[in-house]
Amino acid sequence: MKRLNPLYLIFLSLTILFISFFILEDEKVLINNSLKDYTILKTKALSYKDYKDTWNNQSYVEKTVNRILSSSKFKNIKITKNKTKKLLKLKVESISPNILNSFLNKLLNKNVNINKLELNKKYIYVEVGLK
Amino acid sequence: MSLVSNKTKKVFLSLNTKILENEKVDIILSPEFYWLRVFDIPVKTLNQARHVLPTLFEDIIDDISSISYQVQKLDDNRFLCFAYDNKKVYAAIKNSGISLSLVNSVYFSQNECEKFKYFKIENKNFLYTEDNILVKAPDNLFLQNIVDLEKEINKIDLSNHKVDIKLYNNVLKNKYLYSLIVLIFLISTFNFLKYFSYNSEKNNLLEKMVLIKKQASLPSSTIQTNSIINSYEKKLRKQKKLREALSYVLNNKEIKINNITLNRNEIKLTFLNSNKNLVEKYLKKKYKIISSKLKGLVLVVKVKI
Repeated sequence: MKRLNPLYLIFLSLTILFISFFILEDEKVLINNSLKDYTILKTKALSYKDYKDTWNNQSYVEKTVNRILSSSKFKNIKITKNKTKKLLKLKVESISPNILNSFLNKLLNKNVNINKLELNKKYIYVEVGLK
Repeated sequence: MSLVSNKTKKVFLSLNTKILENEKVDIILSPEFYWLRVFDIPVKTLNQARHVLPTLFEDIIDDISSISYQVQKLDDNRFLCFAYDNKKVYAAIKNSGISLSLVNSVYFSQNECEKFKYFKIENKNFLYTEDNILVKAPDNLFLQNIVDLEKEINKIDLSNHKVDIKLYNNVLKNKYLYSLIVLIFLISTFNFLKYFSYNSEKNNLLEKMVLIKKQASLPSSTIQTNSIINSYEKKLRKQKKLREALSYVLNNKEIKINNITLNRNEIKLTFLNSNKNLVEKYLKKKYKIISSKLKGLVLVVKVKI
């Protein structure tokens, strides 16, 4: 220690200080990037799950349509169902336009893909996408 | 217990010593480099004594600004006090030709040469006074059986009392130096601690991301995920447009629609007994009319969604 000029010690400690600041700044940038990526990934995952579970989910679509049709309102109407690989073809006939209206409302408010729709005062014909 | 008593070479340093050395040396300082007094100081410890020394030496030394002090205890309240100028000793060592890296330790000749009552070295005479203090004697003093220290020097057993000497140009005061270094190290340590906490948080986030991917069963590559989501969003937008168009068409109470046929890209509206202009005007506001045919009372309009 008697040979070592303390100035060298100061320079060493200053160097270590600067290094520590640089490393810290680097890490701050990295962690901010990770945070951004994390939030983006979270929203993506949510929307992905949503799409997979509702709009394009066959069992969800069938369940929803059946639930609508099983409502007591639609007891006395004529329902014709036809299922293919990609589509669920549904024809709902009724004398009362109110019932048709209510059915249309209920269907269009759900997360289902409507491929084709034909409606008039006597019936509603709809093709719902299953995949 | 001196660990290096007989192994290293010893050199007696006086004001004009010039040697060429290439081995490790212990330096013994001649009385020319220090002031020595025996003081009676009523204190108990060496540190307390050292604090008092500057005032005691004020009368003897003119400029005490760069003087260092060292104390040895003789008896209760009696101390052997050394005062020396670090810069002068450092300069003398440099000028003597001894490389600074070869200097092992520095000693006072007062303590080391007690074996010899009087000796000469480099044409200078030194002797111990009655009070047992080593002083430089006049050159022309003749004493019988004077010892030539050059020949005896390497047989000296060095004492424990090393001189606390700084072998560099001391620019700053030690006090501020060390507190400054400690401060700098504290800040650096703080920074490094922050770095480690950020690092662990980042790893935490990465783990969470892996977990999210697993839970949502996302496909492994981001490109795949993005393209799947894009295609789904396209579908969703189409569906929204479809529903909007339907509600727009059905909202108008003035036009009575007979039949609506909706495809992915267009709506075909059939009207009975309607005003063609009125219908077209309403539809044109939001959508583009592909075709509009009137056959008798039946109006068929195709609109692009």
